[in-house]
Amino acid sequence: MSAISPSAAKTPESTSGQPLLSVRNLEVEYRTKRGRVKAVDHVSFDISTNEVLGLAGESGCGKSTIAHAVTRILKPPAYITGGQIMFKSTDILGMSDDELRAFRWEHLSIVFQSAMNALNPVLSVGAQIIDAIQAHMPVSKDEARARALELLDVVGIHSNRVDSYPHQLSGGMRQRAVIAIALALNPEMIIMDEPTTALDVVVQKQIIQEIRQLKDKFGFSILFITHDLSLLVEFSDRIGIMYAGELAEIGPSREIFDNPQHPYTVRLMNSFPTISGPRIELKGIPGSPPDLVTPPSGCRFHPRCDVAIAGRCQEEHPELQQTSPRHFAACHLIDERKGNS
Amino acid sequence: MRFLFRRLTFYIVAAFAAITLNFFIPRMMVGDPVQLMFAQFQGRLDPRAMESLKETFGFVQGPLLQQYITYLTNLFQGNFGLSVSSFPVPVIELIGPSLAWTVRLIGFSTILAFIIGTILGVFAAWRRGGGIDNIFLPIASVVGAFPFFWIAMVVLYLFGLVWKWFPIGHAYDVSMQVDWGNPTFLSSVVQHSLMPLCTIIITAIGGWMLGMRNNMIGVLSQDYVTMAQAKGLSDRRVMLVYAARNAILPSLTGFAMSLGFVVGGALVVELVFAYPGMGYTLLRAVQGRDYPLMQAVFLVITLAVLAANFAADIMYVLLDPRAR
Ligand SMILES: Nc1ncnc2c1ncn2[C@@H]1O[C@H](COP(=O)(O)OP(=O)(O)OP(=O)(O)O)[C@@H](O)[C@H]1O
Ligand SMILES: [Mg+2]
Repeated sequence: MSAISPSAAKTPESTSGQPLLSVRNLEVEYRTKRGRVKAVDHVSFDISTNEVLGLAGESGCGKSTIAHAVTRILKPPAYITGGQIMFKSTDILGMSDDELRAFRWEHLSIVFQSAMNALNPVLSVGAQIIDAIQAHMPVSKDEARARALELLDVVGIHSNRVDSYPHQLSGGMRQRAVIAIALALNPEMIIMDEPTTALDVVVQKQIIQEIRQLKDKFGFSILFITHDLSLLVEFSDRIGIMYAGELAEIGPSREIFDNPQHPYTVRLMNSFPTISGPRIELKGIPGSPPDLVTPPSGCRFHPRCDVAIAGRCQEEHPELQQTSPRHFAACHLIDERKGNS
Repeated sequence: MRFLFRRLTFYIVAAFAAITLNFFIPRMMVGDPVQLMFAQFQGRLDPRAMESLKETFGFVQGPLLQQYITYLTNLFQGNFGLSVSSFPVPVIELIGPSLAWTVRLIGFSTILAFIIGTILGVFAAWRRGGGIDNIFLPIASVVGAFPFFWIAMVVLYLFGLVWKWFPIGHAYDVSMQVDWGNPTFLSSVVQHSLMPLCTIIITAIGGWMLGMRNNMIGVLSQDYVTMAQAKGLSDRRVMLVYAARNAILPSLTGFAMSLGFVVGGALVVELVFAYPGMGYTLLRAVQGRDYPLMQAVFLVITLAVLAANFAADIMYVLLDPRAR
């Protein structure tokens, strides 16, 4: 604990009380022929019980890598090279294979980025729920099946589809089935990696609505990953904005929305239409995300930033700093503003 | 089910086409094929054999349709006529036992090679870079790349002639009566089959193993395998039900083809080990210009290929719900 306490003052705290999940200084790299891709660099955040933390950022900024690191399903060439991931008082990175097997799904489950590929094509949907249940609970096949029917009902799939195979379901139903599997053991936390990107807007809204209801009913926390900020603003309690493997800003959704501190957040927000907000002119973000093998010096966003401070932003790496009780951002402009006021 | 029915219909039509072709080919020859064959034997053939030859090819009295019907009736009764080289033994009595030996030996070893190779491929991929993957797989691949004939000769020379571990030639000790209830006879059959069996297996597993390993590696990177692991399933279940069940599907087509060649493709093994199977019988038929026998062998080979393909279709349907 002492190792992280110095930075604790600067780390983004959760809404209240002891966090359910606490990630500290997480570093993940992909060892490729081109060199080491630092996909996640010193990322820290907490999620507390029944909270939704949204994670947003452009494609390739490391969102899925964080999700996979937390569930410890990264495979070579990905390596966790530093940091700590605590779930309540257990150290996820220190678990043995057996501990990990027992921990998974019962406490923490994950909905993959592509529901199309997350289901085993040769097993029925029911069988894929049943085997998750039976891997963790000493129940008979019939009991597990009864629970599977219940779960399908909960996510809005008619129970007569329990013996259907994935290819017999529509995209929306498959996504719901994957969510049903994630709920199978009533976990305390579910990681959802872009659960609705492949779906059309109507189905997308329905499923988001259902996830919200399920969360209220079962009381799990969600780490919700998307690149659609407008979705997050409505759905999550807090939002983390990632840029090039780092956390650029994190804070309560409304604050991020009303008072973004990081120029990248501002840009990201302007590049999406809000579902309920006023119609504004959409601007893309000029330039493209940096190569993570050789990230830019100083602030990683400076080459694309139109308000960069000459001299300082190229040189000095900005640390996350508190701008309001629960709001943190990593930008030198905050100092400037403070200095001015 | 609809899929299987469609396939079955196709195979029946194909079988019928082969049978019909078999009927017409002798009729498309210039002149009287039976006379031609007879002439080739230069009077060394029993005149009664000529009658049976005629009968075999359906050259009976009456219009073509009637000849065709006679031919079909004979066929369905298993009447392929009489052998010319071992006159007057009916062809069916020569084909029956040799088909049985071939199916038992070659069929069994082909299936066994597929199973062993596939299982090893699963493990090679699962523990990528481990012993099976780094040592066993290259050896098996190299052995599989040698000419089959050469391997068979080496096996025969070392184990049969130099060390005399196994009997050379034939399917059982010829001094014995064929009696499947007799343990001594059974053990003789097993001993006689071990050399050809091992030769087939060691030359075939490398290919199956490599194929399965590569399929597995592709499947292991799929999200559903990662999700199975994230669900906390046992390694065994992830490996078999999530990875291998999917990885085996592309291998089935190749397996069907090799099953189809069991009957026809066993020529080299059976020659080297003097095994009295279909390949051996075909060689004898060719050497003795035994046309009825040859024709029956070819028909059986054709039907075997079709049957093997149908068996593969059934496996496919059992293993892949998308094919149902
Ligand atoms: N197997 C891999 N080998 C090498 N580099 C990888 C690999 N997987 C991901 N990366 C790199 O890691 C970085 C982060 O990838 P990640 O998948 O976490 O992004 P993401 O934020 O989830 O993007 P998206 O929104 O497209 O899903 C990217 O720059 C990517 O190029
Ligand atoms: Mg992703």
